[in-house]
Amino acid sequence: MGVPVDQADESSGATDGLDQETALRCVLAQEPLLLGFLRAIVGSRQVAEDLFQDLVVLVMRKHAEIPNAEAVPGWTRRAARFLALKALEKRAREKPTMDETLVDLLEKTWIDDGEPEPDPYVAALVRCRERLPEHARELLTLRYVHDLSCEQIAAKLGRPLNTIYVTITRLHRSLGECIRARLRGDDV
Amino acid sequence: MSELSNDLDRLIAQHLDDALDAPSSERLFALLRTDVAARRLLLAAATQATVLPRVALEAGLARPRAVATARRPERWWWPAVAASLLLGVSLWWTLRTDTLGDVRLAARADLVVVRDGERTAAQSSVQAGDRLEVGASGARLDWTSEGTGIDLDAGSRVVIDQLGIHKRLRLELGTLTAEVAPQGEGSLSVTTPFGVVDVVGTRFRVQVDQDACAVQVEHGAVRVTGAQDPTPVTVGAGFAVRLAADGQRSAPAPLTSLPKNAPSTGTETPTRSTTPARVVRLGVETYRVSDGWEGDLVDGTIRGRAVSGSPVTRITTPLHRPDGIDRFDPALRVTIDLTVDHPTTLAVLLVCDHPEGGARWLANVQAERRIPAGTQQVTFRAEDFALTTAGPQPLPGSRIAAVAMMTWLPAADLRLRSLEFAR
Repeated sequence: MGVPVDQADESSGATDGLDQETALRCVLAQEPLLLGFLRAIVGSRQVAEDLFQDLVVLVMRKHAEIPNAEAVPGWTRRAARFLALKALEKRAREKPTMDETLVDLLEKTWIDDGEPEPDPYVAALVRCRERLPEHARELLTLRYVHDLSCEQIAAKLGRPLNTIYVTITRLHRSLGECIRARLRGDDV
Repeated sequence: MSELSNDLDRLIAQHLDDALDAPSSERLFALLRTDVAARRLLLAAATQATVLPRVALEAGLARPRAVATARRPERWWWPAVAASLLLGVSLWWTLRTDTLGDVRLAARADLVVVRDGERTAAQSSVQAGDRLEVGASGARLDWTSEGTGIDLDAGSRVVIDQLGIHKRLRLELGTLTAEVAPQGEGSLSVTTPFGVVDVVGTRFRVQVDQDACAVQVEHGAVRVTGAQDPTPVTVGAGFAVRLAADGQRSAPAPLTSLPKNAPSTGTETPTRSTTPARVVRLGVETYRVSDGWEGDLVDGTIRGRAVSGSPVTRITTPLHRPDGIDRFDPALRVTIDLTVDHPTTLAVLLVCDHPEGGARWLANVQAERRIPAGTQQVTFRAEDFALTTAGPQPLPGSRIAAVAMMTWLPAADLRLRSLEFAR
């Protein structure tokens, strides 16, 4: 199976792979998880979203290289890794970024833990979010729905920036544990 | 929690905030290299950060809450959350009422508001149930406190189904262009005969005619649900989808961004749709800042501008109405002399007006080609152009009112020297 090693290449010309519509549907279904993977690597939401769009364009061009729908998650993950590394190359001029070895480690962790199916994952997150205390939900809303930076939230709430950082990641840890338990079928 | 755990938590949140300084980056990366639990936490946090906005939106659809008004002054908002549930509920109703009264209609004299079956003249306030019949001058709905605005093009028919935290408009016919502020746990949706567009916070355009609905997203994202297909598709910035009357929904495809239609002067003289065998050339030689190019004259070339929130760099010619730059017909050849810094896809969009004049927009067609980096001439034939908007194909002799040339990242530096129409 081909890996999109160079966006500049023309399509391979293969004709026995996925049609464009099916490939795009599969990729868009994976969008939350792929975006999460990209964001873990690059940090910035904006950069991750740009990379995901590049990924969609890539799939539109190279869909014929993907043999079937089952191969889409692996193909797109490798493509996402490739695109993220290219973006990091550019960003490295401005600030320290993850190197390829670390990106590989992240990818391996993702694979080893088993990529969740998007729909059950989202359903579990919905339920787990509902279980959070009111103030915790509000904090996540400010951060991710209203898209305020932690610094803006700290100023808004009159609390130390460090407290906001630590609290938000603790909420992620708590949500992560809850989601994993739900996906295992445990009684949460 | 230990100091180390606190440090990791802070670093991960800073990373996802894109706020790490160099020493902190190195410390986070060192932790991630040696600690699989740290990597798991980062992956979990990043994925949740991606999904939480949608989850919150869905929760808000079912259970509206005061938090949707975060754009209001802070001193109103945070104490309300900290207060009792009773106070919170009271506040929600207060804010909801404010929001209802907040929308303003900027209208010209030729707009008709149908309220309770009665046709009334243009007015500045609207209420749920109103039907707007937009005249040739267009109209605009403004939610000033949250920074949301919706432009309604001439001839559009819109029903205000719902106002307040959850806004719902029904676009029966015509075109609207929306600049929507983040809706928090509120929502804004546009219902069309062919499906529904749900908005989080974005700039997008919806165009409806008798046959189909086209949704184009310039910034942010919308979710589009077809009338006969309950599975929504997320359409991101730089992409578009088409909903057809037979229930078919196209896959999201790169955006064809429409230059704004200019109002008709009403004085154009109808002409025949025959096309003269002449060469029309636009570019550096004809460039004037005051003409309204989207692009800047730099180093003897017209340099494209990055489209905000999208991977597209674009150059758009001024709008040539009512005559058009040239005519669209089967013999047309469009040659572009350009330079790009990376291999990319070049898309050329032709905005086509009716052949008989009147500055009546008819359709957009677009051609695409992969191009290498460097200086080159790219020629498209008429058959390379495909229809990208809802509605009919451009008629032979359609007037080309404007041209947009687009490239996608990683190409970021698009330079145009000339654009030539010939046969």
